[in-house]
Amino acid sequence: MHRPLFLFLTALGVGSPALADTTATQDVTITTASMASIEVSGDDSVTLIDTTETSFGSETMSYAHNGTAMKITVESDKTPAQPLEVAASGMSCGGTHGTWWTVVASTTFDLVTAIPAGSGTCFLNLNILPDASVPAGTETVTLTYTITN
Amino acid sequence: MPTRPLLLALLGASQVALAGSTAIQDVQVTTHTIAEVSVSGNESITISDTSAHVVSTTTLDLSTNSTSMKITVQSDLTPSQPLKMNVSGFSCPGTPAAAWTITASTTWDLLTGIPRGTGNCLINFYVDPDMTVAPGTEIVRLTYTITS
Repeated sequence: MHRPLFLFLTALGVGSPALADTTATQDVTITTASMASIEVSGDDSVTLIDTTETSFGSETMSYAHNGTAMKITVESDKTPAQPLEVAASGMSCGGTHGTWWTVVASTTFDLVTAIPAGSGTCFLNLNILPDASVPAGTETVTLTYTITN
Repeated sequence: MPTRPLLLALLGASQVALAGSTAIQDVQVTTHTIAEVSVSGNESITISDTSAHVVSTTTLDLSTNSTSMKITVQSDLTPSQPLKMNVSGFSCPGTPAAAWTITASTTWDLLTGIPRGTGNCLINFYVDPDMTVAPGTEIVRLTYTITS
């Protein structure tokens, strides 16, 4: 009398161990996009009083990326009509530095290459070589730094 | 006059029924420890900047007829995966533990002291990405277990 009833109740799930549901699995998918950022601490200025070659540059450039061997390029809006000879370079950057770049318009220069993934900071150096052909006055040259593959 | 024999007949019928229409049966029901856990589904997190990402859309359902059960969690994250992710439970019956930094080959007590009954809680994922994580997609499998 008891045995068939017990079997019936067991078939209904009464009194049987719930072994199947003591664990649950979940897949968490994390998709990471390409990320890259670059920032310059500020503008720079220099005042020329003679034709002495002058190096200056008190600003820094911070960058970060999660790619592989990215690079930082620089370009300017300096026009051919501006006779000022300006050169730019980076220092203490994480990667391979380019040489001094004589700033000219319509070109893009690889300031730093092979930058490993992560973040870093480098110094921005500028060099200027004035001569008597540069008239008195103020010129502004905009440099645009880009982090790219 | 016709009423009396009828009444007697009814009494007689009733006595016969009482004597043989009852039976006693013991029904023994054995209840084992029941503990069940289920998760609402998989989770997907997209990282496009280095700000912290918090996702709390997973629900963990649990029920037990025991007391002081707990839920553990473990992952298949491999040491080569630089992903940094924490998981924790909140609004749970019982006592949620502090956030767990997911690592492989360890089991973390996500929730302890679960009282008898049925309940649910939210699972909170916290991802703090940095630039060491390369672009791409990673899948981490989490296994939740309810146990004593």
